[in-house]
Amino acid sequence: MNEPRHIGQLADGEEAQLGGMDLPEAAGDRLREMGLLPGATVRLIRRAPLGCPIEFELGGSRLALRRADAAQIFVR
Amino acid sequence: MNDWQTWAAPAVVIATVAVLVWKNVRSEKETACDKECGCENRNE
Amino acid sequence: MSSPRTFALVGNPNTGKTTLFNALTGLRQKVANYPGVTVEKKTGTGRNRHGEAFTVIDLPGAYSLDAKSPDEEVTRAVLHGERADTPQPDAVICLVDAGNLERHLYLATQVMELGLPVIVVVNKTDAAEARGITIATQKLTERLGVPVVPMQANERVGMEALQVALSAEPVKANWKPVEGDTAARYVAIGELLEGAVARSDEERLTPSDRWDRVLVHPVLGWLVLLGILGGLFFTLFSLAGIPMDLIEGAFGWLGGQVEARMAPGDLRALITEGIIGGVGGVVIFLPQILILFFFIGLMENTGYLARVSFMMDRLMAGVGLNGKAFVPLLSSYACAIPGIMATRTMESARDRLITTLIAPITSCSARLPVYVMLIALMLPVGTAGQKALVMLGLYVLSIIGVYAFAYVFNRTLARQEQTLFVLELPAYQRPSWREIGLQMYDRGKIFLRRAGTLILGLSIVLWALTTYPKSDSEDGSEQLAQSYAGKLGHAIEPVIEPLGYDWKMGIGLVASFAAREVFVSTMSIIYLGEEADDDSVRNRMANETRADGKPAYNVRTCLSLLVFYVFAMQCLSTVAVTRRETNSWRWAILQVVYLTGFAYLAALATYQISGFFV
Repeated sequence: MNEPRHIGQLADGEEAQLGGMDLPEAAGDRLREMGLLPGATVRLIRRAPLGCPIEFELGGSRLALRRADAAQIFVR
Repeated sequence: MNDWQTWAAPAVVIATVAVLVWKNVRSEKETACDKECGCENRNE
Repeated sequence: MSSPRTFALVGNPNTGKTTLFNALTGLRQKVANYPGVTVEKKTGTGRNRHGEAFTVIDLPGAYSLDAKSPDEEVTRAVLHGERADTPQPDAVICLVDAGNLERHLYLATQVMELGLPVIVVVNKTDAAEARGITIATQKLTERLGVPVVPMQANERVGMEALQVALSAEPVKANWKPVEGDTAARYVAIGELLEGAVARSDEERLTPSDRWDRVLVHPVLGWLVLLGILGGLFFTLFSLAGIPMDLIEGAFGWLGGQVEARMAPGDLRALITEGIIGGVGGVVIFLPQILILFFFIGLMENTGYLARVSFMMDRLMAGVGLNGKAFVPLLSSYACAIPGIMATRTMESARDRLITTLIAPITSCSARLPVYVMLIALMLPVGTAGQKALVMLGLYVLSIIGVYAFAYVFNRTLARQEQTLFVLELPAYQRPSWREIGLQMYDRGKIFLRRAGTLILGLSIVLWALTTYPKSDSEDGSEQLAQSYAGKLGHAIEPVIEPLGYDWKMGIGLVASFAAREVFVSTMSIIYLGEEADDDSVRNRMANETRADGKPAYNVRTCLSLLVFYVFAMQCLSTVAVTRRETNSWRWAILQVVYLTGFAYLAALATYQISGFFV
């Protein structure tokens, strides 16, 4: 494995196990509080009509993140 | 004649100004909500 | 019982907190502000099964007690009992979503650790069941030792059980404080839920997913959005005319009654021109305010508004805003004040500031009467289509202004923080008409109160400025020139002359710094004196001439005035709200200066450049 995959690279409907993330402290805290913890399962639902943001399913909730932020959240 | 209206109108105006000023000064002091300017007001 | 028991209502955003609050309190609620911040403070009263009154505080939605936005900070401080204006609640109703218990219990367990008694309400059990999630609330009740009540707040299912819990003596939860970080709390919550939540693994397409297939579809989605916005503006500008005419008629009738019953004199003039004219000119916007909040309420209530933010984010990102700025800016089309207050849901202080600064450029409804009056003067023989085209042009100009200034501020303001954009997309639900109605009632009440207080006061003051000191002259315009307002108008004439305005327009301009719509009532007072009737004011304005005999309200002057009104910051209330929102005079003053300065330059350019064509 060379470059780790990030959640923005998932295909529509694809599920993955979260790995680490590389976001500033406050942003990372908020996402962790919302359940984006290592090991959690996320599923990419769809991209917005203009390609960004991207909708994910996590623990029964639907969240949208921007592509740039999603690119800092890696999968296992 | 209607002379009484000639002094009654300015009296109403002065009273209005007094109320406006008083309310604004008071709300400034408490930094609390003043009912006229947006506190209970999400509307114009 | 001494004083009524106080319950705080706490939960993540989009959990149905407002719905539950309304169900508990009905119309017995009060909306105010937490002093110092523009976060709304909603309190209400309800009755328990013993007939005893209790108070409910609806705290702003929060994901965690480690506050990251002004909203969350209020929630944190109230629960800690740190706010002098709000006593620490006696117990907390923790509202959690059955569809994602883990995440919602994150906040709820933090609340339990404060040592406050709690009642846990598990909401939206129906939506969770549709997705194959069932929750054994009885098990949770046993484990936590506090009432855990399943509910469907929007259908009022479970209210009875909640009432039982509210009527009992509140108890603290049997919950051991979590030591460690975020992950440790999730582990502890996982242990609590062990065996209490059942999930079916079967893939299900929920009704919400089916709706999303159309509503955020790359093509259909935009068509639906355009259709809804088109419907909104159509209702706002055409259907609203019917009730608006009725209101206008009612105030006209009222003025006529006063005139019939009172002898002519100063006080009568004050009542008819100042009070009835001034207040009537503002109350007329009530239908539009109600329509706008009906649409926004409907979109918010069904969950569609979040999809709009989802679709719009990319467009807003180009100028440094995010999709969440769409709602405040849309609200600003009714009025910048609710618009600016709606920015409090945005986490980034920088985004909040930029949105606040540009919100007054959106074409608020107070500009409408000014536009209507000036367009009629500009195109005296124009068709309705031509007039509509000018009106549309003004709206387009304001949208361009919003984007351009957002871009400028995004470039100039220092970046303080990395902005993270997280948008929650709740499942769609059927709209609750009751809730939308309550919201409209609430906004309408506040609007009318304002018309009866601040606008009333300003109208009286304005009337006095155009009336005093009295001259001996019988001629109305001579009298006006002598008045304080007239002197002021003459004083600023040199400044506004290059824009194509005379001193009478100057009076209107200065007066409308209190509120834009005051321009129209000022014109009534200036050009008519007594017996104000809109049409004849317009006729007199159309016949008004300059020294050289040409009409005063020619095309160039009207265009210049219109452009000025698109940009100028003429609203005292918005200044006050910006001051409070940003907590400093600095931004409020900057807003007035940049908008009015730009308005002056734009109007100057309009007048001078149009001289080459007209």
